Formats: sequence, C-alpha cells, structure tokens
Amino acid sequence: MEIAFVGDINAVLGFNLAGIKKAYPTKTDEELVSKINDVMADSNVGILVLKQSDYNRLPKRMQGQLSESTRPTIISIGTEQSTELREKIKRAIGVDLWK
Amino acid sequence: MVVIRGTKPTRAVLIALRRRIKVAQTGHELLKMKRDGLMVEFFEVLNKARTVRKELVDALIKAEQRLNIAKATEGTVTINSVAYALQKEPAIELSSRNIMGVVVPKITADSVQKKIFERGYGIIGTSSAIDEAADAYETLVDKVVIAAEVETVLIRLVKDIESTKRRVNALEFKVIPDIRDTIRFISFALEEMDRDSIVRLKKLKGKAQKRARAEEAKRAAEAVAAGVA
Repeated sequence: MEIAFVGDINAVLGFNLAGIKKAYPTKTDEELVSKINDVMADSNVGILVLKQSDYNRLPKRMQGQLSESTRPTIISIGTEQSTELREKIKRAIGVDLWK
Repeated sequence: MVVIRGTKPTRAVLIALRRRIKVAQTGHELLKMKRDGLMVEFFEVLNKARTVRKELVDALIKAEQRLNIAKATEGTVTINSVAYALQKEPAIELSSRNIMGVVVPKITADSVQKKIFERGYGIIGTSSAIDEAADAYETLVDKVVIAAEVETVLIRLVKDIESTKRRVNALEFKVIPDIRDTIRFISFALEEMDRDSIVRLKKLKGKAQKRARAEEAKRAAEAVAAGVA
C-alpha cells in the first residue's frame, strides 16, 4: 500500500522528499477533481493526503464521497480546522465534544 | 394506545407476541450495552484524535518552513533532483480490527523515517537544509499515517453510535410499547369473548330450563286430565 498526495506544487516537492512518488501537482479545480478521481480508482493507494484548503474547494458532493471512503482513507491537513468531523460528532452524540 | 395493524385477537397471536416482546427486550438490553461500550471506546479515540491532529498541524507548519528554507538556499531544481534520487518509498500496511462489531482499519507504516545515508543521494553534494526538509516531511508523513487511522476509527465509531442509538430508541419507544399495547388489546378482546360466551351459555341454559319446566307442567296437566277421565 502506498500514500498519495494531490495538491499544490510546493507540498508535492516536500512529499517527494519524504519518498512519496505518487504526489501529483494540480493547479485548477478541474485538475484537482480529476486527479483525486484517478487516485481513488487506484487500488494500491491506502491513504490519500489533501490540503485542507483544497478539500474545501471541492464540490460538496465529492466532499461527502471522500469523507465516507475508508479505502483509501482520505485525510486533509492544514492549519484551519475541518468542521466535518465536528459536525458528525455533534449529530451522533448530541454535544459538541471537539474543542 | 397503538395496536399493530392486522393482528387478530386470538390466543395463538397472543403467545407469539409474548415471545416477541421477550426477544425485543433482550435485544434492547444488548444494544444499550453496545452503545455504552462504543461510547467509552469513542471517548478514548477522541482524545487521541485531538492530540494527533495538533501534532499533525505542528508537523505541517514545521515541514513547510524547512522546505521554504531549503528552496531558498538550494533552489527548486536541486530539491527536485534530490527527490528523484530517493529510492525507498514509505509502505503502509492495512489490516482491520474489531471494536464491538465495528470493523476499523489498522494502519501500520514502516520505513518512513530514514537515515541520511539511506536516502539515496549524496551527503556531500547537498546542504543540510534539504536533509532537514526531508526529515520534517518524513515526520509529517508519519503523523499523517497515525492521524489517518485514528480519524477513520473515529468516523466509523461515530456512525455506528448513531445507528445503535437509533435502534435502541426505536425499540424502547416504538417497538416494545406497541407490542405491549397489542398484547393488552388481545387479552381484553379474549376476556370480552369469554364473558360473551358465558352470558350466552347462561341464556341458553335458562331457555332450556324454561322449556323443560313448561314440558313438565304440560305432562302433569295431561296426567291430571287422564286421571279425571
């Protein structure tokens, strides 16, 4: 299993340095979406890493699809917090526990 | 009072319903325990997820800083060529684990962190800034692997808690009361039928006695008439 990254060219360079070959640079939104679809179809990828800012740019429908997926597992990294998990916890437990 | 539609007030149905309510109650108890167990597990994972998230963000900021320094001193082209020279790819292992019937992935990674001489590029030809950047990104990938596992577990648990909760509530507030109401309805109906038949029997008995008495009187009258004649 491998790790993949889709995002801006800078981070791609960094992930390349860490030895990740499947790091794809994208510029436009369309490129982003099509690359993510490609990676999702790749059965060899275990984890797909995205930037939080890129993730927020994706269409809502795709965001839902990604958050449901566990193989590959999608993880978005970034300094701003993702509200999705928080919302889910709030809905399931009834209290906002993520603080 | 909500009676389950289409039930016939018969003894057979009553017995079947009594059996069903027992099953529903056992299931309710079990599901309640499952929900509580999942909650305990959830809180543990939640704490872990929060610290992992924080570490991940810290690692990301550090990695980006280091990379920028490396780019400033060495230039993008050099870093690119160094990255091309890298041999080892971090491999991850996906297996699954079971928490109270919820299958969660377990991700283990090996060989993300590498020694300088393992990286596959010369030490002399490159500066330490690149080493540091590579190091920082390796740490980041490590954290990403951990976070991926923990957050997936969290999402799965949350989903299952939600559905288990819904089932518990459905049993507690809908299924079990409905069955109970239906049982009451059937037992009332059966009692009413019992009373009906008792009254009917009494009526019939009364009629039969009346007829017997009338017949006896007639026979007596006939005997008397015969005696007179």
